[in-house]
Amino acid sequence: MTPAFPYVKLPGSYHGFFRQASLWEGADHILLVSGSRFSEEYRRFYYRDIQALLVEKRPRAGSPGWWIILSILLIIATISTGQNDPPYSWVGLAVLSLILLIRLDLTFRRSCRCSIQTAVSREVLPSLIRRRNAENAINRLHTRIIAEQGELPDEIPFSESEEDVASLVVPPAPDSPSASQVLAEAAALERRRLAARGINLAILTCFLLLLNSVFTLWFSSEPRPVLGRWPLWFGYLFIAAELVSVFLSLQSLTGLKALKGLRAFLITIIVLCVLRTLMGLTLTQTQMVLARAYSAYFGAMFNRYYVNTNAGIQFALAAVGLILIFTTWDSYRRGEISAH
Amino acid sequence: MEGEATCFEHAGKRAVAVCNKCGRFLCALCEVEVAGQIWCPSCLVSRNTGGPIQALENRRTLFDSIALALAVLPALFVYPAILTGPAVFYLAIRYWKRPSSIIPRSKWRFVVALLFASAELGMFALVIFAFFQLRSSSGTVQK
Repeated sequence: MTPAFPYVKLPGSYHGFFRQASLWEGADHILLVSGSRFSEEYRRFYYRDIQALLVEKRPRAGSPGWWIILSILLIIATISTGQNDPPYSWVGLAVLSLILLIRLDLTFRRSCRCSIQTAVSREVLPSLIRRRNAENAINRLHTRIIAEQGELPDEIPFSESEEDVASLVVPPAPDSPSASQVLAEAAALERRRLAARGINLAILTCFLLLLNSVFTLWFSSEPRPVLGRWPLWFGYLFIAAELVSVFLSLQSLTGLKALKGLRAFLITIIVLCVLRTLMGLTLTQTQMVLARAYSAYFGAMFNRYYVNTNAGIQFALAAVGLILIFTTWDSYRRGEISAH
Repeated sequence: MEGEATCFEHAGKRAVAVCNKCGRFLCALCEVEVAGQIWCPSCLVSRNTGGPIQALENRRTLFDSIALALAVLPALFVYPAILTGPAVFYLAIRYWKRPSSIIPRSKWRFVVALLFASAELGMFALVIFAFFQLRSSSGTVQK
């Protein structure tokens, strides 16, 4: 007779293309199952050893593989919608866009990093990357840990706002060495949080550039004597979104020395966004004159030349940005981001 | 210590526990708690437990996933399947009864891998058969 399975699954799991992780609740310990598709590694955290369960609010993208698939599907749907006129072709694009928005919302607003603190180590729990799952899991573990270790002498109130948390912290004496150490750690943590937000916004900018490039090519697929109103509005909308994303990213990255290259790249995007807007406006005016004065042939040629150049610049910028971000990714993840 | 039970390994120390596997007396230093039981270091080393100790395992290889990958991925490139097909059969037969993961996991990966491998090998057998049939028929026509 096989013995009963001694674990109950805790909320949250990570399913990447190559990595996966899950958390299981046992009688006297938590089992962390992580590993690749072909092997699993097990870590056990006994309730009696757990000192704290830490939840840091931070953007977490989840599996990169699913993002790549979503991006590819979105590009295919966009091109397909551009080539086929029937209204139902918009349904796929709309559904994929909705999924993208939901994932972005999860990534930026509802994600976290959880760790278990013991006397000798702090281990990250890769399966808990969404806040709701983390809260549910911690609520379940809370009772187990209390049963093993007993209640804390004074219940620590849970607070959402930073002001409330700050009011709970007794300010240490300014001349004591531990106080300066605590302040330095807090500053480093804040820098890392800002850098994470800035880098994630920079990635978003690159994706917007890629999407804009695809839209631009789509609009140029049919020869038109003049640029239509919708393509122009789409173009301006994308440029506005890119600018907002770039400004927010720059705001987060100000003063971070290690990310100087990324800042220069973002400033380049701003300059090119302004140039592209000016070019678009100039071209529209020129086309109106051309369309009246010359044959439609010159208008279409001019249009195609501009659109293709625009799409090429956007694609190149996105590629350069993504390469730049992913080459500094390791140092960013290790927190090696110094100020000035 | 006179008149008191002493540790099997350390004669000068008082016994505080008994090994649940071999019954030896153990001092506080020698007792090892594993999965709610007390074992002596010898039993732990010799795995005198009737199988692997799940509470101590920290890694397992998922042979069913390997078999599934070997069956499905080479099918995209056709030719490697002639080598990976038998490998899938070997893995499925060899590791069918071995527990794959600590957490619940069914055998569907092995079943799907075997079906894929059977189909691939069947196709190869068919192609080889057709090749020899054609060759023999063309030889008959030439005569």
